[in-house]
Amino acid sequence: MPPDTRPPGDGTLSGQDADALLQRTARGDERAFERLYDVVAAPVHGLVRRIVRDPAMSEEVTQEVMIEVWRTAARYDPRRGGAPAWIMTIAHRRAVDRVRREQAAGEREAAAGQGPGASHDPVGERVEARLEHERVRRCLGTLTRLQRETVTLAYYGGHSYREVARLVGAPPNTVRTRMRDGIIRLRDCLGVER
Amino acid sequence: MTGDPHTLAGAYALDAIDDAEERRLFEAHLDGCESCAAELREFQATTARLAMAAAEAPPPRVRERVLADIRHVRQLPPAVPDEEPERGAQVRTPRPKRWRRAAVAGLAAAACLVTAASVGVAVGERQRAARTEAAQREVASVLSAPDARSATGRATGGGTVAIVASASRGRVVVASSGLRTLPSSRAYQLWLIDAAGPRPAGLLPGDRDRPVVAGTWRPSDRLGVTVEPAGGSARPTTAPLVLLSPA
Ligand SMILES: [Zn+2]
Repeated sequence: MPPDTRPPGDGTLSGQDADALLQRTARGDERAFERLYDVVAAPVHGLVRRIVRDPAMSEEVTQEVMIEVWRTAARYDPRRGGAPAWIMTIAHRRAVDRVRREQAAGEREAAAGQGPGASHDPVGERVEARLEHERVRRCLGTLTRLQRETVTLAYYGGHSYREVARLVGAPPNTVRTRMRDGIIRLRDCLGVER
Repeated sequence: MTGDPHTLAGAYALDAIDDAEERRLFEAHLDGCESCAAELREFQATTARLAMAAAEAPPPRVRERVLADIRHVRQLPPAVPDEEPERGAQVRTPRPKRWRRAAVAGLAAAACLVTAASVGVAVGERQRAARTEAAQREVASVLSAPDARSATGRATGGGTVAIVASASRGRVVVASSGLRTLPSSRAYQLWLIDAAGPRPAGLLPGDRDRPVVAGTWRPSDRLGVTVEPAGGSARPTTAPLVLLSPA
């Protein structure tokens, strides 16, 4: 994000501010939405890239997600656990839907949306798996191998728990349990408020 | 639904329940189970942190398009109680009444988000190093998998590509050496190919000595490498230089 698009007061944004921005967005405040975009677009796009992988398609999905946030902002309930969680849920859902649609469409003219301007920015670059957040990385390291695999294959890979079960060669019920155990461990390691 | 519904909160927070009926049943369970509802709230704040850890700023053109588009997009009114979830919203949460205020969780998540956003702006050396380390660990995880299989092949035009794939890890490690240097407008792109066709699997980095990890690897996959525009393609536009299936 170029410097001139940083929101004023960036770096001091609290969760309440994010909630407030979303609630102002719900009332049609375009300035609030712009600021919200500047704060959440990178995590949204990063998540979408991990799941969708194709750069041009990921841009489209990120765009869809942010427009969905604009469209449905009034449906966000602040009692529900934070604007970021709500927005990332939309992003994950959209990305997985897109992947499934592409798989179903098979040979479809996927390249059609890929104009010459589609080369993505050099900061984003690597499609390979990577984590930028030191703390999350460290906390993922505290999970057992199966916990970590099931969590990351589902969240970053966009796989259902049944698909994950096939990928790791474990029964679906075991995978469900490992996912829950893994998130509990992550939650505690990250200090997510109980 | 098979098994104990209480164990589904993890899969639900990871958006890993693809069966609509199973999702609906779990949501019905949430309405009557405050402990699952409270747990899910924490779980969703936790999985949001996973998204923030992967933060990557989209190109400025996406911002321009979004801000231009919303001028033509009508906003939904607030939901009235007991209304079915809006079809397009695609957010599956139990009825708001069941949710206690969790502003603190949101706060922690947003504080983390700011960090992630700053990282997205200035990818400093420390982050680069951390990223490299994370990639190395992922490489090690594939190489050490009990079901790891490998293959090596000569590429058309010179050079060698080697892969190690693990179905249990769902990943393949790709290493190359001696591939000819491409103009900056082109890049080597990886593909995972099965009966359904090729799936894009990322670009080889500029410093190609570094192994990269691509996924999601399935046992029936082959790996192909093609030359594509620097930004990558949605489908291969040139013949593969090499096709590998590990044995
Ligand atoms: Zn329950």
